[in-house]
Amino acid sequence: MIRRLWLTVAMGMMSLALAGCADRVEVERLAHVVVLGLDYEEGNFINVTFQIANPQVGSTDRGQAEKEPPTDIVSIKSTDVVTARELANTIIPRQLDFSHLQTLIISESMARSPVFHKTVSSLVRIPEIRREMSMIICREEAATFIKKNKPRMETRPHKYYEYMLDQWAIRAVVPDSNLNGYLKNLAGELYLVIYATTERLEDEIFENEALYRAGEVPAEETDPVQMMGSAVLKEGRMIGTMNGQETRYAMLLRHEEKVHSVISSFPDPLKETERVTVRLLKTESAKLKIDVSEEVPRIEAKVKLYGQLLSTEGMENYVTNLDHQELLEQTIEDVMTRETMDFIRRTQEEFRSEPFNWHNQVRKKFWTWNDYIRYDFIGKYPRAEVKVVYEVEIENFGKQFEPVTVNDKHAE
Amino acid sequence: MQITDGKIGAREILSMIVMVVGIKATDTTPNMMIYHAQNAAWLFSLMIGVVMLIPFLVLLRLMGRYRMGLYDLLVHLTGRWVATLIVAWMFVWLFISAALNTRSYIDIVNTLFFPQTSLYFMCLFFLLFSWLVAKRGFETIGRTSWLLLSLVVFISLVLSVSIWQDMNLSHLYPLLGPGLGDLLKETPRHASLYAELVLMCFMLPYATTYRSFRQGTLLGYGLSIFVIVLLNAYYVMVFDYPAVEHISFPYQQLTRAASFGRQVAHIEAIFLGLWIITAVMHFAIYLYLTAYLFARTFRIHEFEPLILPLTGLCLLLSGFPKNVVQINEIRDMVISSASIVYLALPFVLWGLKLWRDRSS
Amino acid sequence: MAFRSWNYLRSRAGLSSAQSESDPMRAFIDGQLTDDMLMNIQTLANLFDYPDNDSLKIRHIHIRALQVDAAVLYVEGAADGQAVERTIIRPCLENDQQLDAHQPAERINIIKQQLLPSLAVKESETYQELNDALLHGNTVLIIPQSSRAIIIETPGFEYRTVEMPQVEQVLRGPKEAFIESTDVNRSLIRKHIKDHNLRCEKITFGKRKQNTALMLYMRNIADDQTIQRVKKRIEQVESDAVTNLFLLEQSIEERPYSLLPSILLTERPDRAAAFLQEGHVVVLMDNSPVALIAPITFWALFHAAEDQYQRWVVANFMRLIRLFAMLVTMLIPGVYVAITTFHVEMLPTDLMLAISAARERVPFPIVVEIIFMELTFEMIRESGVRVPAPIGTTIGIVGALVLGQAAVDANLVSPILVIIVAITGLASYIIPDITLNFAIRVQRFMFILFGYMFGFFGLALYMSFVIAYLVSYKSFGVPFMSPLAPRLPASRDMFTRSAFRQQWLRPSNLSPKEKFKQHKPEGN
Repeated sequence: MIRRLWLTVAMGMMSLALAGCADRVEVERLAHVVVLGLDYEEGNFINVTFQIANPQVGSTDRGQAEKEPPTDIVSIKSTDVVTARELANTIIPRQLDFSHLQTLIISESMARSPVFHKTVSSLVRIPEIRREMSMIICREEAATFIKKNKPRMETRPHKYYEYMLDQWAIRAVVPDSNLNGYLKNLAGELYLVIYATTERLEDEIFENEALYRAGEVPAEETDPVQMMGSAVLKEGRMIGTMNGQETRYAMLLRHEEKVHSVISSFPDPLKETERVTVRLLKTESAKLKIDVSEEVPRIEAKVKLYGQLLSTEGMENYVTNLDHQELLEQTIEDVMTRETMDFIRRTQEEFRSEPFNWHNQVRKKFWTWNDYIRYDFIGKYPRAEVKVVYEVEIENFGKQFEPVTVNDKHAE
Repeated sequence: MQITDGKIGAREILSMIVMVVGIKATDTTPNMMIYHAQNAAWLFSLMIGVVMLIPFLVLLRLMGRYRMGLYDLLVHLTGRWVATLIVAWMFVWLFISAALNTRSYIDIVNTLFFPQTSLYFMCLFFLLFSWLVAKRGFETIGRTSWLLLSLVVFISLVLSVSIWQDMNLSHLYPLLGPGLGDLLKETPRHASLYAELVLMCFMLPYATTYRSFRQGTLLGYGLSIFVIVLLNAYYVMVFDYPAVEHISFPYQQLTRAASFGRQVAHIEAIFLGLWIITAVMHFAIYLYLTAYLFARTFRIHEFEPLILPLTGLCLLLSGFPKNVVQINEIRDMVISSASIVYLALPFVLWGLKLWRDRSS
Repeated sequence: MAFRSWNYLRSRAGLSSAQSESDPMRAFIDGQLTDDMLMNIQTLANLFDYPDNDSLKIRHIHIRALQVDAAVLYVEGAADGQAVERTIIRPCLENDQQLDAHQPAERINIIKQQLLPSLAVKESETYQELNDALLHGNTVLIIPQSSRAIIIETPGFEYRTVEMPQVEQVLRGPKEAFIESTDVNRSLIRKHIKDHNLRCEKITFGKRKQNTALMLYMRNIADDQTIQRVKKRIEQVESDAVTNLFLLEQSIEERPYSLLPSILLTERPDRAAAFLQEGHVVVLMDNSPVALIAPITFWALFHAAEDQYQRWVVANFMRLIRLFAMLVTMLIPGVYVAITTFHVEMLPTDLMLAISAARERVPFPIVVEIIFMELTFEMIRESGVRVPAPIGTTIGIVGALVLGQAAVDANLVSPILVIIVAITGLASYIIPDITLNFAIRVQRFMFILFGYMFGFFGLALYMSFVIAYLVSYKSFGVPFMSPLAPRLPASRDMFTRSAFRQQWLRPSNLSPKEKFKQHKPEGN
């Protein structure tokens, strides 16, 4: 009897449960937004662009729908992302879902507007939104950017961003930017966000490859998107851009950031017109000495880099000649120091804040939060005395000892 | 040797303490700590731990001297009526905490994973399973906790490894947060965050020996504090101070950050599952303790059948608060108002003992 | 020879007719033999419904040596006819030395001591014993004027020879299995344990006390309380229909409705011997090619026979695989349902897109799809067991290949589901014990249900209940998860095992009298 009662109660509960849970959605009923674009519109509006992956294209042989496009792009004008999503559902038959959203694209005009911070901070409230979502700022409208971004080798857009992210993680010409980082750096310090564009700007051609910004890299007939350099954000608004080289120096001077592979060319110290290409690795954290005892902070940064010689256009022998080696190391150090000091001056004068996360190290000098706030490191940074020391050590010379020369003497 | 005599050893007590205290690092308690102690929340939790340890040691000493559990000790030292009053008060306190915590736990799950599902319905299921575990008896709760302890340790390790990349040690600075003065002022007010430790003393008669009880509680308490300190430090290290203050559920947010490379990146649902298992144990212990205290208040001998009606009552009560903010407010109030009692009780008992020793 | 009426017999036996109306036989069984030989034979004949019932055979012989007539009784089919002829009838008929004896007791002694070459000979004076003896295949010799009869053991039940185990197969290790004869089984165990402490008790049970079981345990190791508990439980069995261990198991377990078994049946003598030496009790019965082991823990079900025979690394690797397989069997379908209906973010984007593309043309919700496939798989398995051997091989191929592929082609299920169900099914075969295997397979459906209800939240709730249940479950007073929870001193032999040399401590959850198997090894 009791057993039967139990059974009834259990069955009742189960049936309740089967009817009750409202969050159950079959996976194919969802429209998975993989890229989200934000544009600034006049008034209090924003233009939200959803790029929705079409599962039936490029995922599996079974259930392939050949005539459908790989993604569907919808742009909705609205006051915020949530209402835009609701509006989008009047067009799209499937429920829009953000759980696979990993890329956020923001137009430069949006990033420079006061709406930007409002929108992003309300975006974080949506349960599915992840703080690890990458942020990209593009030169043009985000809607245009998303529409134009049709990589040739990747059918599915999320794959494109995924591969690009892995590249960025090591190359350091663009920063690694995500929502969490943005939300952490709102107290006046600079936050660097990936800068990208589909536009082609015909500027000049640089000898130093890192001097380009997005859109300036001289390339023809290829994927439309270029990602290079960074957009500079301060207190929740974009205030400028940096080129690839500046971004790279910002990364090198950060205390904690490891940079796996920087391939950079330097003027050949023995032949002025030629360049030497070196791969530099930052495997140790930068050593910082920060003195906050006086009114003006004094900062000394020491960065140790290991180098690998990749190519010598000038055909000089840097491998077996130890003097030449030292000369090369010296040149690299000098060039880098000079460029870095220029860059620091730019941050002090133009941006009036620092992108190096040095404030994190300054915190260590204080006991309480109030003391730190009172000291106002960011406010004092433009006047700070900064000294940068690079130590380059070339430890690997590649697989050739000496450059192979035409008409080699040994051959005779 | 008879092995199923209803008694539990040091290991079981240790793991129960972890389930009942250590798990607080994963609910909304860290919010409270971060609110009061800013980026020094980890230090704050450590300080509370130390402050609560002193009265607990006194209590242990007393129980060791008389070789009796807390209830018998209360009866012995304060007399029957005062003891009943104290136990009744503890029951009310624990019961309110249980209801509030249930609500707050379900709120977490509801907000982050099942936003459209009925909250009440989930509470019902959650408490149903807590009851199913609790009704199997204290022995079973203890042993299950012990079995799950390795799981807890394992999760903590996995979590630590998977968020390693996102951590930044420098976020912990400035070390003292709002300053030592503020921390010291807030510490005693929040001592009852770990008050379950005192309540576990009622369960001394269930332990095989006094020695194993002492060992289990102290080690378990140490481990719990370690976990709480560690997780509080993680929150600040991953999210940084001013930002972390705005996060309502830091542990769940942290598990969202957990990843092993890019492909195994969204594993928070697994953490949710393992967390829920420990939460069920947490509430099973709560329910068992409330039933015990209720029975002692009204001098009912057989108390295990009481667990079911109390669970139902808990379910009703958990439906009252409007939302999570209100819960946190009530919780802060409940915790700070009870702290003084838990801090003072052992010393009062100690004083009574001295007075008795002298008068006899 | 004339057979007298029932009433006459009743009056001789001093019984009123009313007393035994319900069961006329009962009264005679309880009685004692008389000194009237014919009367004794008559009673036994009546018990067996002689001569209508063809099973009882009565052979009248003349014992030459004593110059008396006697009767030999045996049950055909139970007793070995050749043995009766060789060890009883021939010596009685052919021995022509003249032995003088006039007292019946003297005669019996002479027969026992000088005539019968049989090994096991005993006397009896109750019909009950004679009845049991006959039914167990023994032969009864009745001589005139004696109220005692001689019982000679001549069991002749048919049984097969010792063969290889069918279920618990090993690559390394002994390859003998129990058969349907208690004597053979006992000797198989004796072969492993050559120890005078191995005690063998006979327990009779059932309403008529006609069923017997042999209870074996190590006198110096097994806990007395446990022994008494098992014994009492067997003695309490009322039914006469319990004729083998499979039925006995169900009659003596504590929670007949539980999914978990509290008793283990093994067909391997070496396993039974190993359990004996850890302090378990082994019960043997006729007609059962297995040994019953009680009490057991989870580990007894989880471990395979081979685990101790393989080298340390191999054995532990196998066990980890097994643990993984167990979790896979139990959880994967539920987890799949939970993920695809609640936690889509957990899948890598590519896989999610692939699943969703394949699902788009499937008309049913995922939970229907998976239950359909799982049930199909269970049907394939069940039919594989029931199908006659010659056509059995086709089932696997038809079921697995054609059905799965066709279901996918017909858009009944999505391809990934076939993988999930196949992996689940494959993994379930790794669990060595068949009852645990069933338990886990049934649990799987519960997990699907809870995964469908609340995703990981539901899975976790149910999991916590399962773990608590496992921990609180007891087999003859021994906690099921011991010595893990509660943690008790024991050599490490749970999810993994320590090296064989290091297993010097008996698991103390069985409260063994002698705690050590050997001296604690020095060094390493």
